[in-house]
Amino acid sequence: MKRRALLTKAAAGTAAIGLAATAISSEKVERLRDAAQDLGAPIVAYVTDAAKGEVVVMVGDSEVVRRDAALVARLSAIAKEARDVVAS
Amino acid sequence: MSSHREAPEISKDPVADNTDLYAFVDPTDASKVTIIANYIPLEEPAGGPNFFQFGDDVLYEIKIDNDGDAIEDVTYQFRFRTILGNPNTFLYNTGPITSLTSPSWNMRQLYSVTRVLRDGGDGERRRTVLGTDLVSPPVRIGPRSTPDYPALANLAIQTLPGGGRVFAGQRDEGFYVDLGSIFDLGALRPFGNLHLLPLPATGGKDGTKGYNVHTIALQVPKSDLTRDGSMPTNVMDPRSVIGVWATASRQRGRVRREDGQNESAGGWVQVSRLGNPLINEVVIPLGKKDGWNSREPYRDADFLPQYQDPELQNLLPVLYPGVFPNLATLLATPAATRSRDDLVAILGTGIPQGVVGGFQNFTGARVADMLRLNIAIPPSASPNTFGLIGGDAAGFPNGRRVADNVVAIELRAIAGVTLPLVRPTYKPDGAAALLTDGTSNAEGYLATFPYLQHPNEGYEHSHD
Repeated sequence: MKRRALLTKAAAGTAAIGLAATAISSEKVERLRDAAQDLGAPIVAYVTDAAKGEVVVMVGDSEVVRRDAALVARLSAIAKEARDVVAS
Repeated sequence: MSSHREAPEISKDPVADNTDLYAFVDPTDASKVTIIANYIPLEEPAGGPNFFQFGDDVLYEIKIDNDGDAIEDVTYQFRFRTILGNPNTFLYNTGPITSLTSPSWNMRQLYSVTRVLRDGGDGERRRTVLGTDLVSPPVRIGPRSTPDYPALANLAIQTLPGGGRVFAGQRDEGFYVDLGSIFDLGALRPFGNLHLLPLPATGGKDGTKGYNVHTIALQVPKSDLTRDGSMPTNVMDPRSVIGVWATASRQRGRVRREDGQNESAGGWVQVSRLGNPLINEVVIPLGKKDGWNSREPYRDADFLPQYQDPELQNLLPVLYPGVFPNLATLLATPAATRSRDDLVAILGTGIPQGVVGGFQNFTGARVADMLRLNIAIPPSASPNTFGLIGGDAAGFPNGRRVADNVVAIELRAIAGVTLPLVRPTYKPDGAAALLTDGTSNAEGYLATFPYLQHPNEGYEHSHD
């Protein structure tokens, strides 16, 4: 697949997820941002099994395993963008 | 070595590398047990300016099973944090360090001790912080920087609530072994002339001589470790036996920042463990060593074949042609008919009643790498470094004391000395009972807690 086609496909995936994201109110986004800042530590997301939509979210010395296909799809799309940036 | 650089992954992460574990009824106070967990292999004493220290990002743990399921019932956790006094100098110290509060000491470590109890039933953990901001002594640099090191280091022996004591800091490497020879195709210098590729027989060379380690030493009442809080006196009572192991863990995620610092996130993942000496080193094959380090002892059943037919047993008659004829004859029979159940017992389950008169340290049928200690057995008045095979039930494999010659004990056991315990018709080869690498620890040991000798200093030390 040519790079342009890949980018287009990735962008389409991102856009699809982005639609879902727009459903979240700006107030909620603000609250989520505040919550992340309150944690006072970096947050690391580790997609352990993309096919199952499984992601480990780590902060401090805690972690939680979630099945969230939408989140994993969005992270995967961003990862493809990142890979493409490195490759180009 | 006992467990130094024993697996591919942990050999690249020395700060988290368990090297040795000791557990014994304390010879100065038989109501207590001393457990010593060493980390960081082969510390060159002169290794400045950033000398060796514990990892701030490592969770160090000593774990005790007291009901035979190979799951920890009592855990002692140790966390370290480094304090940098003056970031504008490259020096570890800017003058002599004569006290634990010396302003000349620029880079120091403090640590905390937390006791975690596993309650029955739901497995809930209860945590009690036993100490915070405890001081780890400086490393031993030389006569100008650390002029009266023994007195300085002794100040770092701390008292814990409930009658315990703790020390965390640099020590002399008390484990002795001829690294240079053993890893040269399994050669033992005293028997060099009998090797497949012969060289003159000579005395051994202690490959760890002059090196240091970082030690966590803990002395606690026996009653803190037993399942019912008792002080066992009956050797044959299963409640008298505890299983001990030590671990190091790192957080699952680590991010390297562009300012040279790191950030960690996530739960703790075990990267190193140690119960009996030399298990991951010699018994577990290369392809399984990293996995073994990450596994809990209660899941060790997969490794049973390595205990039943250890690789080293099969190498001995090849490396020393004609020296082990009885072992060679045994090995010519099908493996399924000659399981080394003596080794399974000594290293995997503990020795059941009826095998060695008046002794047992059996924790149940579950094979698990734990250092098993029957705490009803009092300290020996005249310790024999060959432990149980030397007639001294207070020594390895009943726990392990700092001076026990575990290399020779395990060599002799694997060569067949202990096989008659389960196969009375087997006659061990004469050479088996003589096996040794010919080493000893020239620096000796302390007579009191924390028992391992003060570290070698950077300014003046020597290797064998």
